[in-house]
Amino acid sequence: MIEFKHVYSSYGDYIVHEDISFRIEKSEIVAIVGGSGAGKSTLLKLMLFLLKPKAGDILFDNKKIQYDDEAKIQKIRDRIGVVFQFNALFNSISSVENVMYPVLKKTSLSKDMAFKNAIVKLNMVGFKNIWAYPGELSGGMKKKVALARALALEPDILILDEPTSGLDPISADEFDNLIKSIRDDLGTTVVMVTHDIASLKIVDRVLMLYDKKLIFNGHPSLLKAQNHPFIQSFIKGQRGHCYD
Amino acid sequence: MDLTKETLEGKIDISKIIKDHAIDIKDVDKIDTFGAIFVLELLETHKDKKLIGKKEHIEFIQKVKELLNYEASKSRKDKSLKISLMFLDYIGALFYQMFSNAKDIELGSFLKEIENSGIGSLFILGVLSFLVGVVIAYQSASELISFGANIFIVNLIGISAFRELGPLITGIILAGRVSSGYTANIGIRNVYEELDALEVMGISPFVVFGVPRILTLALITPILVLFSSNIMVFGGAIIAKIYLNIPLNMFFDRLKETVGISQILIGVIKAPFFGAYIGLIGTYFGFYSGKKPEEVTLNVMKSVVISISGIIVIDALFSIIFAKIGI
Repeated sequence: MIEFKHVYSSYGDYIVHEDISFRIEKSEIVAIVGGSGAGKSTLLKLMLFLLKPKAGDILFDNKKIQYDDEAKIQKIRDRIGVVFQFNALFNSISSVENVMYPVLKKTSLSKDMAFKNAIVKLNMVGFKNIWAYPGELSGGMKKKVALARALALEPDILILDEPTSGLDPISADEFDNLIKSIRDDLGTTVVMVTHDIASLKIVDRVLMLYDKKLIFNGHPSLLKAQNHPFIQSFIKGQRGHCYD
Repeated sequence: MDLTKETLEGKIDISKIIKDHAIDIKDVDKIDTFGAIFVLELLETHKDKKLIGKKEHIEFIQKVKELLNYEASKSRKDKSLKISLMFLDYIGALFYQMFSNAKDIELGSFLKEIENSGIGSLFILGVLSFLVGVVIAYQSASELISFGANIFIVNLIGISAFRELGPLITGIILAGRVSSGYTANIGIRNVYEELDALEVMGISPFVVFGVPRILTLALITPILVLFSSNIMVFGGAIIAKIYLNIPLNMFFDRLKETVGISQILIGVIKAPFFGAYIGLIGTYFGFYSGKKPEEVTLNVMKSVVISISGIIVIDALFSIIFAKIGI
């Protein structure tokens, strides 16, 4: 579905990624992990085509992205739903209106259809208090509304930036299970950037970034067998016990 | 054929779906949530028809149907009465805390507030008061010339500045500058749980952040009113000299004769009420702004609007009272 071929990226002279290659298949759940400043968020920006690689190619559905064709890029972006780290909900409108918003703005479907779709998506993520404003919700509830909004246009790919940050372990577990059930029910491809090693239990593949390079690309169960010192410290560190 | 948001945006030939005895989606290749809602709406309209289609599509539509339940909108209660009662509650709590925790009130807080709210407001107050004086004198000068009543500019400027405009301009500037500042300052402390921390330590936030501000504002507003009125008169005097050839010494001699101490006192008497009111509103909206940053911004707006409106209402009430007692 998405493929990176020998991608190099940078901010000015500062190199962020060197020779990154991987492929994400349809309906996979992939986690991008790595230390702070490893370039995880930059990788997301590359996937959303907000940033152009310095060298190498990014392919979507086996077609090379042409960065000069903004209309085509937007068409691809319309197939991607994003849950931002701090949810980015509109505080002045209710939860259900937040989920209706992309449908009303991006399609010519009726308000009634947008409302019913929002109800389905909110129920899908287990959120009942549809008339509540984001300001009245807890962190976990906001995440659910943000997820429902990301699903509103039935995206092929769901991108989640630190989905469990700021959530207690129970809410984080609940959210992880929700992601998995959405993939199972809708067949959505999920790409998430995470620091939370406990979330790796739901993923099919881990992409680990370290020192500008991709140092691991495989099933999370294979992480333990890796000799790379960073991988060892990542999974055996003080917080790595969650991974067992 | 697909039943997806893309196809539904166009025109769908429903005669291909609605058959004699059934809603037939056997030929549908792909269906999404929007398509499922569309089919459910068709079934709702054609209650006598049953649904025929691929097993996985019918199961999907059934699942969407189960997820389509929701609680009807709850009407949002009118909060105005609650806010009024909370405001009275706040005043009561403030007085109680002020007397029961008087030891926690720090002199330093008063001095800081004099600097922030009083001295900090002098520049903008001075500039605006001067300009108001200039505008009034300038606007009325031509009319007075036509009546040969040049000297009466002193009465016009003097009485209006000391009695009405000085206090009003001061009140409005303090409402905009200080009330918003109090709400934002206390509201942000609330967001960052500083107020909770004080309560846990057994120190009343009302006493630390409320009382010094309200009392300081009540005490310094009369001084600011006098400052504003005098600057306004000075602005008028400059215009009187330029356009009406009234020398400054003659202007101020005449001012002493026409504007008695009672006119000055009328302006000054209102000032502590203006100050206390602005302080109360500013701190009240800060303390009750909630724990979310967006609520602070909303409350800052409310505090400014209610402060300015209240100042005008209080001024009107004083005018009625003074008229009744004949001053």
